[in-house]
Formats: sequence, C-alpha cells, structure tokens
Amino acid sequence: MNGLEHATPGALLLLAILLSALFWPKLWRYHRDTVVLRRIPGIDAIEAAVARAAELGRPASFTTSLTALGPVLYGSLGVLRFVAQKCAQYRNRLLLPQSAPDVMAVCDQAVADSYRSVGRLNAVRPADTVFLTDTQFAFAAGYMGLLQRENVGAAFLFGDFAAESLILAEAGQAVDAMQVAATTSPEQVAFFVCATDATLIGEELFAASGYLGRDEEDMKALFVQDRAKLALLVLVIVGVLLETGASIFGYESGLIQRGLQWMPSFGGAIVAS
Amino acid sequence: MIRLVTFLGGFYFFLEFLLPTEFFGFSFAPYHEYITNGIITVGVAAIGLGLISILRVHGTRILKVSPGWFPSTLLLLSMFAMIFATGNEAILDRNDAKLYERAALLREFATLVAKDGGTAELSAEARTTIALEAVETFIQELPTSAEPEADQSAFQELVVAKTELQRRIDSGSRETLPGVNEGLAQVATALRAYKTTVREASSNRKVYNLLYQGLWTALAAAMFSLLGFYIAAAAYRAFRVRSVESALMMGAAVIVMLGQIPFGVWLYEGLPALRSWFLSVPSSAAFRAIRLGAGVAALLMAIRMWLCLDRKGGKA
Repeated sequence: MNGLEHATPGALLLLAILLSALFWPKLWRYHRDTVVLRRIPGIDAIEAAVARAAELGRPASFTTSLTALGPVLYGSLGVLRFVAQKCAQYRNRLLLPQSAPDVMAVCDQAVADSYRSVGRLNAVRPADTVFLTDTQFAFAAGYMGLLQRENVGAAFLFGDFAAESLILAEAGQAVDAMQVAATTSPEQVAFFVCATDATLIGEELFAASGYLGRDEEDMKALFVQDRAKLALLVLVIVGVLLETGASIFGYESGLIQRGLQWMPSFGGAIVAS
Repeated sequence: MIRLVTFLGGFYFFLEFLLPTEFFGFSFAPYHEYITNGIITVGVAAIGLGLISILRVHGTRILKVSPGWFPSTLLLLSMFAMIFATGNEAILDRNDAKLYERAALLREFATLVAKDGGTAELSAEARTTIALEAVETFIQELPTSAEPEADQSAFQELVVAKTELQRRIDSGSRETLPGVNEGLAQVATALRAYKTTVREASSNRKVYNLLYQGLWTALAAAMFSLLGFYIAAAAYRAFRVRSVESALMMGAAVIVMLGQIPFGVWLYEGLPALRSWFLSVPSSAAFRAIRLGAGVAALLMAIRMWLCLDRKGGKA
C-alpha cells in the first residue's frame, strides 16, 4: 500500500468504526436504553458462586492465571471488582493468587477500590493476595495447594489460559468449589466446559463487566463491538461471494479480481487486531 | 499526568504499528530500538526490586519463625544456590568465549596473511612472524595439565592438537600458514570438547543440574503429566449423556478419538476422513468465530485503555 505497512483499508475502516462509535455513538443511533443485554448463564453464575461461598463460610478465589497486562486482563477486572464488592458485602474473604508483579498491583488496587466503594476498606486483607510464581506449572501447583489449604468455596478463572487450565479447574473440582471460568483461548474452552460449572466463551469475558456493572462505558463498548462485528460479517459474506464467484466465472473477471485484491488487506487488519 | 503519559505511549506504539520503517526518507528503526531497549532496562531494574522484596518478606518470616518459615528457608537457600551456580557459569562461559574468540581471530589473521602477503607498512615475512608468535602465545595459554574431574581422553586430544599446531608453527614460513589455520581449528574444537567435559564434571554444574534438571524440570514434568489423568476425569464428566447437546458432544468426541487411532480404521476406514472434517470444518469455524469476537472486543478494550476511557484497575 504505497509504503504504508499496516495502514491497510481494512485496518483504517475497523478503526474508523470503533472510534466513531466510541466518540459519536449517536452517529450509530446509540442510546443506552436500546442496548439489550442477552442473559448469559455464566454471568448469572458469578453472583450465585460468591453467595454460595459466603453461605458455606468458605473463601472465594479469583485468578487471572498467567494473563499479562493487556485487554484481556482489563476485561477481567470488571468481574473482579464485582466479585470483590460482593465478598466485601457478604464479609467473605477473597483470595487472589498472582503470577506477575504488575498484574498483582493492578488487581490489588481494583480490590481495594471495590471494598472502598461498599465502605469496607478496612476489611481488605493484603495477605490474601498471594504471589505464587510466573512459571506455568509451578503456578498450577501453588494454586492447587492454595485451594486445598483454604478450602475455597467459589473459584473464578478469568483470562488467557494455556495447558494449566484443566489443572486449575480440577483443583476447584477437588474441593467442591463452584467455579466460573472465562477465556479468550478457544483451545481451553473445552476444558473449562468439562471441568467448571459455568464458562464464558471468548468475547463474553469482555461483556461480563458490562452486564454486571451496567457502566455507561461498558454498555457503549458492547454496542460498538456489535457494530464492528456486523462490519466484519459483511466482509466475510463479501469474501465468500467473491471466492464463489471466482470459482464459477474464473479469477480473471475484472470485478472479482479487484475485489479479491482488496480482501487480504481487510483480512490482514482483522488478524492483526 | 498518568492519562497523558498513557496516551502518548499508546500513540507512539500506534504510529509505530501503522507507519513504514522509512517515512518520507526518515528511518525511525534505530530510535525505536533505543526506546524498546529503555523499556527492557526498566523491566530488568524490577529484578533487583524483586530480590529485595523476596529477602524482606521471607527473611522476616525466618527471623520471626512465623508460620511457613521452613519453606521460606528452602526458597532463599535455593535462590542463593541458583544465583551462585548460574553466576559462576556465566563467568566461566565468558572466559571460555574469550579463548574461542581469540582462536577465531588468529585463524582470520593467518588466512589474511596467507592470502594478501605484506602491506605498505609491514612485509609478508614480518606479518607471518607476528601471526606465528601470536599463535604461539595462544598455545602457551592453553591448559597444560588435565583437571582431575575432566575426561582424560578429551585432554589427550587437546594435547595432540596442540602438538600438531606447534609442529606447524615451528616450520615458520608463510606457506605453512594454511596448515596453521587448520591446526588452530583443530585446537579450538578439542579445547571446546575438553572445556565441556570439565564444566560437566564441575561441582558448580552439579549444583545447577540438581536444582534445575533434578528438581525444577522433574517437578514441572510431574505437574504436566497430571493433565493426562485430569483429562480422563473431565472427559468422564463431560461425556455423560444428559441432554441433546452433551449427546452431540460425545458423538463428535467418539468419532474424533476413533479417527485418531488405528483401531478406528479397522472399524471403519472412513473414520480418519470424518475426524479431519470435524476438526477442519465445524471445529475450525467455531474457533474462528471465538477468535474474531474476542479479537474485536480486545481491540476495543485496548482503545479504551489507550484513551483512558476505562479505569477498572483503580482510580487514576
């Protein structure tokens, strides 16, 4: 594209849609009341799990496993705030096994803010935020030990997971904890579906905080997300039609050829995003 | 202030992603390297802070004999043993690398003299003498006796290579320089082999191997192997047919599993193809849908973070 590397039409279009919807939502006919949030059983299970742990008099735990600072972690923080608020209200302990110092600081702050928001800042227990390790299986071993020792009643697994996902989920099963998991890694979804009580799949992780908090920014983000996905759906359909047309009329047809030349730049932008 | 720094940092990386390496004749690549090195440096400084923090937390626990003092003692002992072992290894590596580097430089010099002869300042004979003297000095710096724990045969090979190189130097003419070059290569190879045996047998390496290979790797492998049992347990729970969805899931799983093993082919030869179809069509489509949805949501979240529209991490 004349020397520009990632500034493809696809990337710019996607960015234009996202930014315009974020800053001029009325352009896209956004109104808070028109955003309908579909009920997701996994999100409903979050509150049920916290309440169950409180009823049993057992602590809750929330882990982002090895998730680094980034969009997935920030998506999970909305749920962490909700869980922390509920734990503060129910006067229950919340354990935070951590794997990265920077993530630990952010999570600590989010928990402190949540406790403060319900007027129970003095109930925050710094010792409940446990730094385990940043190594995958050592973290899994530490997490298993923590859940066993503390006899956790509810476990929340939110973030990016890899091979440790099933070990973490089975650790919760072993202590009969109610578990809610959410991940953007498709490979780990199957493990969570098998081993936890409720699973949020992919983008539901990001939707959860909007659903729980009904915060204006979250609602707007959900609205924008939907519009962006609509644009991508249109691109997918156009791509399928072009490829189908090419297989019928041949790749030499002018319009099809031009269309197919443009498509990779759109596709590339989506992959890069 | 935090918002401004976040925005500027995000804006920089945003432009870095969009703009080409050369923009209107200006190449930004060298500056980008400086900036990323700066970020790495800040990260490295955190290691020191981490060490202080570990010593403070676990040291206090040990001194006060608080609950958990014994694991804390083990942690600190392991940490110091590992720091000592790897630090020592790094120093030895650096010393050895200097020797190998010298051998390589001498070979380069000998090749140059053999090829070009003399220069305006120095005759070919003078340059040859300098090269041979440098090689002789190098030989004198090589080990003269085998270390007790080293492999004796590796040392003997080094002695043979050294003697051969010395013999080639002794003839002292420019024509023998290619032979000297070859001799240097043999000495470097033999030296590397000998040093490896010395290092492997050293107490330093034994400490490292005990902690890293003997404990760390073995424990990580044990944790990973647990997955096999957990998969079986989770599969048992998931495959109990209680609804149409779980029946579908079980059916698909049985086909995929049977299609993966030779027994499946014996049952029905079309099973591997069916398995491939399941993985490459419905499963792949679902994976892409999840990735696409999560990708858009993550991109939006990144924009919100960049523009500080979201403050879930705490009030900035």
